[in-house]
Amino acid sequence: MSAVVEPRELEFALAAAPPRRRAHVEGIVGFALLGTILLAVVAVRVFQLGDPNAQNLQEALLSPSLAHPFGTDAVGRDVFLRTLYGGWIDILIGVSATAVSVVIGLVVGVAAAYKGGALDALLMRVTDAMIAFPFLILSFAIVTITGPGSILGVFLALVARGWPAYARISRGETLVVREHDYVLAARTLGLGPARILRRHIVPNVVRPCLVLSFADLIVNILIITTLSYLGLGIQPPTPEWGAIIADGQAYILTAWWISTLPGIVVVLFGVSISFVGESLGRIEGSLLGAAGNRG
Amino acid sequence: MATFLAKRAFQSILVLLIISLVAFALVQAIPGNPARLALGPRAPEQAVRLLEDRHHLNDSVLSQYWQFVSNAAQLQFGSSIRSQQPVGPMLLDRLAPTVLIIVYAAVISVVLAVVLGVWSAIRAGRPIDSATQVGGMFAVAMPPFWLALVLVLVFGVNLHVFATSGYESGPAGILRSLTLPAVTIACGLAPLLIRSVRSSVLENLGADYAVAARSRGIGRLRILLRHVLRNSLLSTVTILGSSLAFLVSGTVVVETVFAIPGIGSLSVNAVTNRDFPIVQALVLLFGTLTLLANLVTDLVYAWLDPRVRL
Repeated sequence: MSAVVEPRELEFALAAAPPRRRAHVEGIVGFALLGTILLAVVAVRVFQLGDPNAQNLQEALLSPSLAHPFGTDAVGRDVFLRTLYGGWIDILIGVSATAVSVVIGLVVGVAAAYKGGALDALLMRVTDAMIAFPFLILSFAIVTITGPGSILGVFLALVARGWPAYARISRGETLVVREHDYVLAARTLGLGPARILRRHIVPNVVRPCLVLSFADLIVNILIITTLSYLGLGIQPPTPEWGAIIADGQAYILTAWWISTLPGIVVVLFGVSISFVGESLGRIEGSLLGAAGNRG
Repeated sequence: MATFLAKRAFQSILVLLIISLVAFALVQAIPGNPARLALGPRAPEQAVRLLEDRHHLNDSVLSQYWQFVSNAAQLQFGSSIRSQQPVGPMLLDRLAPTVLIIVYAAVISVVLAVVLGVWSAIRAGRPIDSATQVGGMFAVAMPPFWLALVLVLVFGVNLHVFATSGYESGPAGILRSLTLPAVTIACGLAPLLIRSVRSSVLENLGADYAVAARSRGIGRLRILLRHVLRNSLLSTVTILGSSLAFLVSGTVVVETVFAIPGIGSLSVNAVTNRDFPIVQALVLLFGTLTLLANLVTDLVYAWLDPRVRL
C-alpha cells in the first residue's frame, strides 16, 4: 500500500450516480438556477442597476417587501441589491482561484509522476505538508500578510489551499495512464515526451480534476465568505456575501432577514453548481460510453 | 509492517519540517511588530525592546528558525508575546471544548452516514435516496457561520432548547452548549460519509459473496449487517480520517460564532495579534494530528481488510 494517502476526495466525487430521471431534473433545475443567479449578478454589476452602498436612514431595518425583496439593513441599504453585487466578487475570486489551483496541481502532479525520483519525492512531501497544514490558519496568515481587504490575498489563500488535492489526483492518474498500451505505442512510434504528455496524458488527467473542481468551487466560495465573516477577508462596505451576513448578525433578533436571506442565495448558488457538475459529468459520461468513466 | 512504519516516520518528519518552514516563513512575512502590538502604541521604546529581546525577535532569521525547530522538537513552544503565558499549558487549557466538538461532530456524522447511507442504498432510486442526496447537496453548500446563526435563531432563541453561546462542562452542559456547534460541522461532513456508505453498500450488495449468501437462503438483513456493512465501513473510515483537517477548520468557525474558548477561536486571535509562538504551535499541533490521523487510518484500513499488506 502506498504510503501517500490516495486521492480520496475523488472517490466520493466520482461515486454515487443518481438515477437517470432525477439526474435529468437536477440538470435542468441546476442550469436554470445557476443561469438566473449569474445573469442577475452580472446584469446588476455591468449595468450598475442601483448603488449597493446607498444609505437611507429613514428606511432602515425594513422587513422584506416588494420594493426591498430582502428588506433593508441598519443603515437602510437594500439587502437584495447588496447580495447581487456581492455575488460578483465571490464568484469571480472563487472561479479564478479554482481554475488556477487546477492548473498548478496538474503541472505539479504530472511533473512528479513523469519525472519520478527525487523530484517526485520532494513535490509529494510538499503536497502532503500543504494538505496537513490547517488551511484556515494558512488563509488567515496570507490574508494578514497582504493586508485587510485585499482581493489578491483571498485569491492566494484559496490557491494555496486548493492545488495540493489536484496534484495528488494528477500524479495518481498519470501513473496509471502512463502504463496504458497506447502510451507505450506512442512512445514506440518515437513520439517525444512533450507530445505524449499533451496528447495522451493531460487529457486523461484533466477529467478527474474537473470533477473535483465543481465541489471545490463550492468550498472556495464558502471560504471567501468565512474569511470576510471573521473580518479577515473582503472588508465592508464592499458588498460581499460573507460580509453582508456578518453585518446582519448584530440584528439577528430584530431583523432576521439581513443575515438569513443572503445566506440562502449562497446555498442556492452552491446547490446549482452541484447539480450542474453532476449533470455535466453524466452528459460527458454517456458520450464516452460506459467504459469512459476513467478515461 | 516495521519497514512501513519506519518509512512513514521518516516521511512524516520531512513533512513536519516543511510545515514548520512554511509556518515560519508566513509568520515572518506578516507585517507589524508583535511586541509593539502586544504593548500598545504608547508603550515606551525600552519596554518594546525588552519584549523583543525576550522573544528573540531581533535575532537573525536563520537562528530564529533554528530555535523554533529545536524547541518544538523538545515540545517547547515558548510563551505568548501578548499574555506571556507559556503556550503549551495555554493550549492544553483550551483543548477540551475543541476535542469534544470534533468528537461530537464525528459521532453525529457517522451515525447519520450509517443510517441514511444504508437506507438510501437499499432504497436506491426511491424518494428517500433522492431526498438524502439532494439534502446533502444543500448541507455542503451552506456557509458554516450562516448555518450556525440560523440554528441559534431557531433552537436557541425561539425554542430555547440549546445555549446560544459559551461553553458549559459536564454532560448536560456539553449537550446544551456543544450540540449546535457539532451539528453545524456535521452538516458539512455527513453528506460525504453518507455518499460513501451508500455507494459501497450498493457495490457490496451486488458483489458475488452477497449473491452467493443470498442464494444459500441467508436473510437480507443478516447479509447486510454481518457482511456488507463491515466492508462498507472501510471507505467511511478512510474518509473520516482524511477529514480531520476539515473538522479542525470547522471548529475555528463555530468556536468564533458560539464564543467557545477553544483552540479554534484562539487561532483567529493569535494571527491577528501576530502572536507568533501560538500560531507556530497551533500549526505544528494540527499538522501532527493530521499526519497521525492518516497513519491511524491506514492501520485501521489494513486491520479491517486483511488483503492490505503494510
